[in-house]
Amino acid sequence: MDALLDVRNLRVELPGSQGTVHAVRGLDFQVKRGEMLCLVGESGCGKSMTSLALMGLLPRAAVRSADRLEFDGVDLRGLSPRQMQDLRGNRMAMIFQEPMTSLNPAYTVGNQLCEALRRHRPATRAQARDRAVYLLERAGVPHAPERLRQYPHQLSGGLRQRVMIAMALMCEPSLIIADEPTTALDVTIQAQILRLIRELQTEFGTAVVFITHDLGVVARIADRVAVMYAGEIVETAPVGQLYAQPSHPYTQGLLSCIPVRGRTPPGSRLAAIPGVVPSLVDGIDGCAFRNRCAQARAACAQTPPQVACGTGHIVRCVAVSRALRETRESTV
Amino acid sequence: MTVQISAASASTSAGLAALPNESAWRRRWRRFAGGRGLRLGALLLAVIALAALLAPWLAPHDPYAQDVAHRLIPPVWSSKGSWLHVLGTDKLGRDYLSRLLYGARVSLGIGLAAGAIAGVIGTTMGVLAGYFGGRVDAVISYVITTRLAMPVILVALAMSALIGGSVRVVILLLGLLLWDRFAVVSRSATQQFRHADFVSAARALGGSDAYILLREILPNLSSALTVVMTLEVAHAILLEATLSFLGLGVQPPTPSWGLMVAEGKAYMFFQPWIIMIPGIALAVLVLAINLLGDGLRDAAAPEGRG
Repeated sequence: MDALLDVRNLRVELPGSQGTVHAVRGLDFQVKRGEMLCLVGESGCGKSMTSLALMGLLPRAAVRSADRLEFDGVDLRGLSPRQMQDLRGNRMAMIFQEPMTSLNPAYTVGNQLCEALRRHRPATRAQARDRAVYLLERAGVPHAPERLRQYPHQLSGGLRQRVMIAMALMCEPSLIIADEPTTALDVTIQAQILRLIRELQTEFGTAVVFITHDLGVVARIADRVAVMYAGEIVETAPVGQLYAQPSHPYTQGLLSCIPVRGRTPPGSRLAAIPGVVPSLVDGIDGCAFRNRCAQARAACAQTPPQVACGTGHIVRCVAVSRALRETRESTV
Repeated sequence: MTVQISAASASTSAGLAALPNESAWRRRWRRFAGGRGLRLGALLLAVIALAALLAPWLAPHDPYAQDVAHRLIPPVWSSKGSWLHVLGTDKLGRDYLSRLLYGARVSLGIGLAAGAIAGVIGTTMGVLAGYFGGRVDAVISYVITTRLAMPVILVALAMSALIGGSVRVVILLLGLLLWDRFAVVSRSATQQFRHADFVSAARALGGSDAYILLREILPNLSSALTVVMTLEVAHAILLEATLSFLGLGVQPPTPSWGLMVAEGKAYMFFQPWIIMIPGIALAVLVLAINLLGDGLRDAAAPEGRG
């Protein structure tokens, strides 16, 4: 298996005055070359902390640990800050949520794009500029050569996000982490940007970890999906499998919350998962979802097992594991 | 205001293709020349700076040459004045216009040099404190607080009394005393930018701390620091005049505007122009610098671009 990114038991802990927040609690996942993995989950489930942990950009106080953290065969845990710096923007890039503030207002677009390349490559100004124009055009920015001379405030949000995408691609990274890149955009632009990311991803063969809370977005672009809840992945599956056969009660709950035209009667209350997300301070024993789960049982207080229920479909749930065992026994 | 509005509407109506016709420098210049206060300030300052630079060629007489026979000649506009000494002569018969021109060199030179020293010290401290926070911030904030607790004029007086006044001493003293505002402003502005998304983005693109400080954050402080710089230059010029007036700054016979006021104070009731001329020159210079600073802030603010 050709895994570009291999993560085993990734943990992020944030010490605080109220106790340590266990923001990411033992994440296992892999990203193959050229694959689009979507990390889905609600706010505060540790999606962004995961992306920052991968990039080595966690806040100073945060503690990262992992049994394995390999990017393209390189163990990220052993890299010095200097080596990590050489990797960032070069081999792995990031696209941020807020295009309005992710560009430096003091420089022109061209300046920032060229800088992104010249920091890692011995390119001349002209070469950098040519690549910037090429990528801006590929990212669907009209009048690219003229745009280079403009300042960020002269661009709309959609254009800025296109610039950010072009900037992430400057050094041809093999992995891009996109942290909710379309959340701040309005819906029509969002669709364009999603299509663009998908296109560029196929064209350049870049692997993408796409972080979002929007299951609609996931359905459009993902190859594989990892559903996160309270700092852990509760279900991983190829995208078709996840929507056809959601197995974890949390995933089922999430999908049933999406109103469907024709099936959800107008004026009816939208479905919701009862209860609230548990506090991540001082960690959680057992299944984090059990206090909101209709299928909860005594066994949920133990750490739930990881069950494979299909190719590449892994669920972390006692109920699913029981159900599987019963069907297996009945067929034997 | 009207200029900006019409320019903006022109570019929208002309459409996208017409957007970048104007070069960045041209646009910068148009903004620069925009404000009225800015233009007046820049003009006044340019005149004074030119006078200071060209003093050896402009001055009609040697500013140090005494001629006691022709002492206290009033300026040309008074009935007893003459064109030989346009601004008259002082108590030792030295040509007042020449001394005023050479004095501009002292005032501007001390102001700019002290401002530059203070700017480097204060900005470095403020940016480091704001960026790294924690212990670095605690130490630097303590130093800033200590400095703010010291009355500038008293410390400057005491030190120059100890060391002895000279142009170099005054520059160093003021440079080492006037960095507080640079530090406070750059610290708080850096704190604001430290968590800005474009800083995280720069880090995600592989920027080091030094790169982020110098290339990402510092340019965004430029407008605020420009304003502080003008304030502090004006402040330094006034303090130099004060020190010289009290006899602890620039020493005679070097012409300094503050010293000229001091030398004229004995004649205040009989020959008021002797203190009025350097006094007015000082006021105009400080006004010009402040006008320039205000205008520059409006012109250079990145958020106000376009």
